Amino acid sequence: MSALRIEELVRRVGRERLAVLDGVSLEVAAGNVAVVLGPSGSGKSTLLRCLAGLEPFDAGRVALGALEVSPARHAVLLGRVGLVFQSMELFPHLSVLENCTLAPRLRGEAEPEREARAWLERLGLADREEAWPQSLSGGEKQRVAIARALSCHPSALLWDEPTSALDPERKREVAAHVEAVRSRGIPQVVVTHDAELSGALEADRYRLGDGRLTRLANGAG
Amino acid sequence: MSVSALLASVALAAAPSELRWGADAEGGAPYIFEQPPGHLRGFEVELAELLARRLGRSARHVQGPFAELLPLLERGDVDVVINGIEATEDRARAFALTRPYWAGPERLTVRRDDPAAPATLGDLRGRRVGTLPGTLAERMLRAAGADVRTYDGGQEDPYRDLALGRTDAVLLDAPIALYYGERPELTTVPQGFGELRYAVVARASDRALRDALDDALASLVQDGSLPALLQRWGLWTDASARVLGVTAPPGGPSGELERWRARSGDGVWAVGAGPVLRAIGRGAAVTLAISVAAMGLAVMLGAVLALARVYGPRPLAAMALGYVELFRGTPLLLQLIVVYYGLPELGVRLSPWVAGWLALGLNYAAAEAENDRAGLLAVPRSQMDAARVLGLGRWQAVRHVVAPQAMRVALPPVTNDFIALLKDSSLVSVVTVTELTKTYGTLAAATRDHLGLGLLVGAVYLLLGLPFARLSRWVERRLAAHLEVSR
Repeated sequence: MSALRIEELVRRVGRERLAVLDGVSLEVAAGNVAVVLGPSGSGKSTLLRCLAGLEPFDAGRVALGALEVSPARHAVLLGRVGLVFQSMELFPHLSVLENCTLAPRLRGEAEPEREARAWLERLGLADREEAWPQSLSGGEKQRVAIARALSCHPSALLWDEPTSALDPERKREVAAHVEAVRSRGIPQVVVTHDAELSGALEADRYRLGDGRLTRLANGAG
Repeated sequence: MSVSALLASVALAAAPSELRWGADAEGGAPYIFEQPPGHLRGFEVELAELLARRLGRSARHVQGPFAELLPLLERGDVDVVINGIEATEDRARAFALTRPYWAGPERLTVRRDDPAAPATLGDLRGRRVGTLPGTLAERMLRAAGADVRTYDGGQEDPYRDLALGRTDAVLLDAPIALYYGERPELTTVPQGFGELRYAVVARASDRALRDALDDALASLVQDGSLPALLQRWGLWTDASARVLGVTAPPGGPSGELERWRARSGDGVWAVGAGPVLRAIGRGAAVTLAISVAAMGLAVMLGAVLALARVYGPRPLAAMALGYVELFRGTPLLLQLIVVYYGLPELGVRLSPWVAGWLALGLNYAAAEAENDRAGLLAVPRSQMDAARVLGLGRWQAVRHVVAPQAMRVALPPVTNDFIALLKDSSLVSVVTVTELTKTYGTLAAATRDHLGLGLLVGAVYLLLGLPFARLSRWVERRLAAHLEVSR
């Protein structure tokens, strides 16, 4: 399995060309987890959007294993990096299973249902395949979002504030999901300000501030 | 249906053995009217047949709205217009006019119980007087300083308003006064005013046809068939005798006029329900066919325009916006007339069906584009992001994720628009397509039953629209299925 490597990533926005990310570097080995902490507005979401290919960056490099992505080619990352959105963003007009199979099916995969069903089963959603997203609980929605991302065989998985939309008793399950993905050898980046989640994960911890990423000593955060 | 009508109109342009004559059957008696529905009658119907026979051709009537008959002639949809067209100097310069086939005065009709009823042109100053637009009568009324009210809807309307006291008098051609001005509460002043002459109109470039028609008219006068025809319809006048050069009046009964008098007041059902319902059914089928076809075009083009506006590159989005503003900001009637009568100047000659379909479809596409745009904008941007992160291309994301969700927002107004289009389709009668409203006008002019027919035709419009309203509710429910909590 391949590692996720970020080198001196710079992202400027607005007319002032303000650097939201001002030389961010990070390396997450296969099967490792990086937790990124930081106050709101510190650029955590921008970092995830750049890594997922949704936003361009101005300088630096993102590498997925042997694949090196330069600023001009950021869109190459689309479809290669999974992202579990804070708001899940399930497709409301598709069933749970269809949510997971849409992208593989459009990519022309031979058996899009197989991988999707395997993930849904592993995440305890086997009996919810035919349900509409609207009918799911918050925790179920998140598990569908995870299954949907993993059904596309991503080279890395990003989490945007995974506990913020959940009931307190469900928050604890997130760490278990992260561990389940780790077992597949996929590098993960978890952006959160939830100290409890951060503490529950065996991970390298970083703080994003002033556009830069600082590694925290173990146990901090 | 539209395809066969289209082919028919193409075929018709190529048939030289026909004399295609334009006239508006909604205008009414004694010129041309339907009695029973579907069967044309009138002294000009008979005249057209006599003339065609003399030319060795067969007469073929082409229906067009009165105001558009001369444009239809210029466009080449008809060879001649025979519809009480007054021979004026202006027209003689623009067209090839034959010798007159009828001449007579304008007649003044007033209310019997009106003590101040005008009796001369001089009395009309400042009085409310009804007439038809663009006629000699209108010019005479303006010269007399009358407060002129013109009517586009047919020959009956001015007399109806006079009887209701909305006007003080009606000045119109003697034949119209004779056939529509005779009501118990009205009386026509014995003295006539001015003199007008009806002539057959051909294109200015078609002098050979005009000359042949002149010869035909001369022979119809000579063998007495034209005077006899006018006499049967009660239209023989001293002025006609003079301009036709006939010294001995034809004599004999005015059978057609008597028949009209006997029938008026019978109402629409006197001829039996079958012909009326068949005519309305035909009109309804035309209305439905052109509306469905136009809505299909509008929905498809509207979707393309909305996608161009929301997701297209800037020049494309600007073009789509320009399209929407242009077609939303100008009247549908204007667009229809430009498409049908204007485009031939650029060498684009569309058949009536295609022109009507295109104008309605292009116009409603602007409305559909706005609906669809509202639908697309109602879907959160993050849905697009989620689709893109999964590796869907931009268009795949629009097609499989954004558009299906947008549809639920865009659909209810689409049904509304379809019902509006169903009603607006009545405008295609200006390009000679006889749909439901035109059918109503024609039936009403012949039977003089405006209220009963109006209610009936209104009910037919409702029946046409209702299934679509139901269909839309069903589709809406299906599209909203995912919002119900259990499946």
